[in-house]
Amino acid sequence: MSAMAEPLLSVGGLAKQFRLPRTRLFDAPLTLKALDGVSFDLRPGEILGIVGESGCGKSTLARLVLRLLDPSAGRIRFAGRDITRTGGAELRRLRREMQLVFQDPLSSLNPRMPVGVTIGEALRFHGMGSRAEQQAQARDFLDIVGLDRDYYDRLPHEFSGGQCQRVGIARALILKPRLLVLDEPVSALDVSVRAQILSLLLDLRRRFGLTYILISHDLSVVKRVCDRTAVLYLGKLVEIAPSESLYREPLHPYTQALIRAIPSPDPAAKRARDLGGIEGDVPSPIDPPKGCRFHTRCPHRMEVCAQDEPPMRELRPGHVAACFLHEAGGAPATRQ
Amino acid sequence: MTAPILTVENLKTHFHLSAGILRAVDDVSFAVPSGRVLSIIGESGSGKSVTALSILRLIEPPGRIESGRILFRDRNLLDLSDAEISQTIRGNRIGMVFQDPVTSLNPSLTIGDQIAEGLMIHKNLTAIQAEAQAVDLLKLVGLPNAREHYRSYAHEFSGGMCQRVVIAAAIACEPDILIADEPTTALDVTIQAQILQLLLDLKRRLNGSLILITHDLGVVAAMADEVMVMYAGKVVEQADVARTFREPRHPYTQALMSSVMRLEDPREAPLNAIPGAPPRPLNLPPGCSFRARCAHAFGRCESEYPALRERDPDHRAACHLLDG
Repeated sequence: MSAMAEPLLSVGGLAKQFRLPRTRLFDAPLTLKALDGVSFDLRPGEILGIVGESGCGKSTLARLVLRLLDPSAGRIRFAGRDITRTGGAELRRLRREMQLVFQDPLSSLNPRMPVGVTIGEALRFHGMGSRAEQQAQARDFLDIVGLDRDYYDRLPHEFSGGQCQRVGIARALILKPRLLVLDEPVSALDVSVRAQILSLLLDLRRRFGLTYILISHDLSVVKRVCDRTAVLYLGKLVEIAPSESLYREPLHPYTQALIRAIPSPDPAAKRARDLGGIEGDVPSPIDPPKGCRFHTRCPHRMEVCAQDEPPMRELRPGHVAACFLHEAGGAPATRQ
Repeated sequence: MTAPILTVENLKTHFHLSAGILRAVDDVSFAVPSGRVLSIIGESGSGKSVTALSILRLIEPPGRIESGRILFRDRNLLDLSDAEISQTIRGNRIGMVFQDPVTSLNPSLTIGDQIAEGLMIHKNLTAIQAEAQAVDLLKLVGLPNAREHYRSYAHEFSGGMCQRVVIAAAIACEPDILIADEPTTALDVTIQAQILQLLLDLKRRLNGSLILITHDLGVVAAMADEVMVMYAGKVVEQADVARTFREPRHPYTQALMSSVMRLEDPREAPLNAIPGAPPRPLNLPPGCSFRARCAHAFGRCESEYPALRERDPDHRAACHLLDG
């Protein structure tokens, strides 16, 4: 088998439960199932988008993959190694290979630390190179992310949001990781500068052969930059597919609702369809609905949906979804 | 075009900082037509929120409303005392909804009492009358089990439910104008769709006007009748929503429109951004504030700020290119 065919990251049956404090003295403690049985592969050089509403487990998934949290069940393989239980010095080495870019560029930077020092900090932590080399590299990376080398001594407040995010990307890149997890990298930025950052990320992928997991609630961003898109609902993966296929023909009613809920930036479109996405709120992950977790809000729910969990099935090439509508005998999925 | 319910004339709201004077709102004039939705758009720091806060007279030092007039029903709101504003205007004739629903609510008061409070102050209702009306309002905004939830606290609700409560409080006195500053930015898209639909339904029902501040052009397209574009504290363009999206005249609006990522766009479509970042309106040099990022800037843009003029009927824009 060639090295390229091997997934860079492979996640199987990944689950995370958080134990909550007792609400009453003699009650059993509650558990919150933040993530439940999520499996996917990530090929080298691929960009996988993860979408879903707040509380769906997007960030938990990212933190598990980065080994910032320990999974309750399942396994994680990275570059051919099982890293599910990696610890100690080996985990520190692993951290160099996967890095995180945060949502809020300004608050994720130390306001009193010159940005060049922030960028070079990881090199100092890992004891890589002399002080002069570390400084030179931090300047190089300022340049790589499209900032001036001389900005080394500037403080975060001197930068715009977009520039701060460039600093955040430089900080994540300086260890030359293979995998970058981008947690809502452009949501805090103005529409006008989002494209700058996304273009930069696409350039950097080509230049450094990077692989990304991009977490976002903005489906138009995910569609544009991600090769594949995974949709999470209440801790479960409900659909995963090449982005082209997912947006052309979303198969899960939740994905359909998410796409329909996005207001189109075209004034003529508004009267043509109502704004309404789906009814109700996301149920509590402490006591998720039985059967398909989406059935309480699903416009196409059937009896079986309240009883059994729909299995993940490949319904189109590479397009996997978990919905009974697509099982034999199920009603055909409607796009409207 | 209907008669305006609110007219803002030459409003200047400045912040006196140690670094200089930040001209957050600098000579802004516009009218809010009765029964319509005016959307104010622009990048962060363009003065959208400060404009809204000025109308509500909620500017605190070091900020100050320097000059201008805000005419509401033949009264200049800038002439009223603080007591008059809070008694008769704010929360009464002009309601407001802010971005973060959870922090907009008082965590230690039940949600019902927060709505009833406004009714008792502004409409002189008794506690019992106010409670009954607050329950009706909670039903109106689609809160399930309104009667039981009257005594709930904000932390017991999701963000979308909190925003419904905030909206119920904002419309309690049936205001003539509702100002909503990024009302759905903190919410998920499926909840956003519900809240936007609710705002439109309520506007129709109350026959009031809505000033909607947002950076999401999808929300603007779905909601607005009129769009006002702000840049560095000034209005650079105003037109009806169709023209703003189809035939924007100002290069900034044009660039903003082309930077929007649309779900319909093919994946190969170029990612358009406006280069650079918006300037802080602090010690700005003369000339057009957008010139550094403008693809069409020429000599005159350096020296002279372009006047905001009517270019087509009901279509204003401020750009030397249009002055010919």
